[in-house]
Amino acid sequence: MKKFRFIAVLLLVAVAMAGCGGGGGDADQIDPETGKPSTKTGKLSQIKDAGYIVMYTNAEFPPYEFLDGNDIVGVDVEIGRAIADEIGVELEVVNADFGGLVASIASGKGDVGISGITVTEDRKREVDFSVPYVDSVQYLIIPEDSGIRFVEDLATKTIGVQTGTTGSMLVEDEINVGVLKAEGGAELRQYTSAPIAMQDLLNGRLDAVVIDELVAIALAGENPGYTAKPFIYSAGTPMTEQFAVAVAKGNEDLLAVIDKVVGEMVEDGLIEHYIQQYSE
Amino acid sequence: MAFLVEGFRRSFIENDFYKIFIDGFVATLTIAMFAVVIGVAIGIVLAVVKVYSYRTGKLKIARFFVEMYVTVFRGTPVVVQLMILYYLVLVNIKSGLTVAVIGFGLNSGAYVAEIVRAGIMSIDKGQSEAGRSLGLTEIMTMRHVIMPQAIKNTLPALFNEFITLLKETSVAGYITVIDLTKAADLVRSRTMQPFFPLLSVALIYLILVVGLTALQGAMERKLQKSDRR
Repeated sequence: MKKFRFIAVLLLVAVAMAGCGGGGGDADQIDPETGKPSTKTGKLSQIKDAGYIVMYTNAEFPPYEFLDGNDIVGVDVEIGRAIADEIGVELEVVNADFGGLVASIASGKGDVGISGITVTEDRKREVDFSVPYVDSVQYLIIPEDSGIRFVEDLATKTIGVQTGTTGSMLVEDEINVGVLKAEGGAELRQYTSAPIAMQDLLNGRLDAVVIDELVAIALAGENPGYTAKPFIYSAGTPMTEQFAVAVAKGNEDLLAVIDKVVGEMVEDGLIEHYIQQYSE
Repeated sequence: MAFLVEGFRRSFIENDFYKIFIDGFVATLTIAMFAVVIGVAIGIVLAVVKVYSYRTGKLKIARFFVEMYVTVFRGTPVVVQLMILYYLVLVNIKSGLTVAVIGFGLNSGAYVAEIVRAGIMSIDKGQSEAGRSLGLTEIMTMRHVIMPQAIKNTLPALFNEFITLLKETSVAGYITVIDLTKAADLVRSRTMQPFFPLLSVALIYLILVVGLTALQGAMERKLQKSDRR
């Protein structure tokens, strides 16, 4: 009897903790000085006051972001730096797990998320996106002698993806409700980064890795005997997507600055230039 | 309230996400249970070899390997051991779950070995001398006199190890196993809402550990029946 009471108390504690969490979330939207609900339009001035802008990224995604020695470099870091320069503050880059990245931005831990983040409907429910800065296609990494040509060929195969990427969502959806549902389906394996999924392809546990275009080309290039090609359906349609900068909802002033910077970088061909530079 | 209902729906019901949690729960339990069995088996053998070698001065080479084993498996993080096993050593085993069972079993063996060794050492030397003088062999004395008492003494420490092991399985996601923690991670990465996935798996771990603690209490009570007080 005592034990049951103990468990009941534990449950209560858990519920209470849950309640606090929810309350804390609401409290975020109250301006601590005026006590009124804030519209969060002060984000830009907050960043200016702090003197730095926090960018969240997952530095395992060449050429967009990767570690060069101890420094995180890549196309997305250049975008982050351009945004910081425009505002007139320092750039602080935080290397985080991709799976939790959008949530970190939504909860305000980071000011901007720039990590080859694809604009999706699911993510739009949590964060706002800037104008897109690149169009990307999902790619397959497969052994050169592999017979896999289309998405449909992945039935009964074992496929590696990086948790939280669009590649992972795409393959998951195809297995659950799409073309890979029938005929014994396909097995999906989740990795924390693309290179480690590549390692398991080399180890022979996987038949294919699905990941973004440039990452796939970079990884296949480093491993002789493997090739990267667009992930297309047998009907010939590829899976295109767009990368954009993520910010917490309701920060129109910050988003306006980012849109301006990103728009200019795309127009001036700077993005293309950096992709070339960091792919070498 | 609407926020909670909507969050619950998106974390568990939409896209049948609850199935991921169930699969994760099964994987966590599978790893923990099999690893405990392997760990205890390895641990007892290692402990007996070590104590026997210390007391008799024999089996010095075996003792050296046992000490190496314990040093290596206790001296490095379990998640690193798992990744080494999965990506470098056992590359021919396709299933991440199998590698996880082996990895956690090997790791736990090192800890259990020290726990059991402490248990054996806690039994008075007179016990083994009595056994020997009654005509039991060294092995019979160990099996019928020392070990039953030693295991009883080590029960709290052993359960401590089981509880730690159960919670440590949460790093199995590093080698593509979709355990309870990885399930929460996956759902979180789809819904971008950490609230329900994280709190619900925390609660499940807690309930499992409370269950283990209850089991420990029951076993201790049962074993105490033979105590003379």
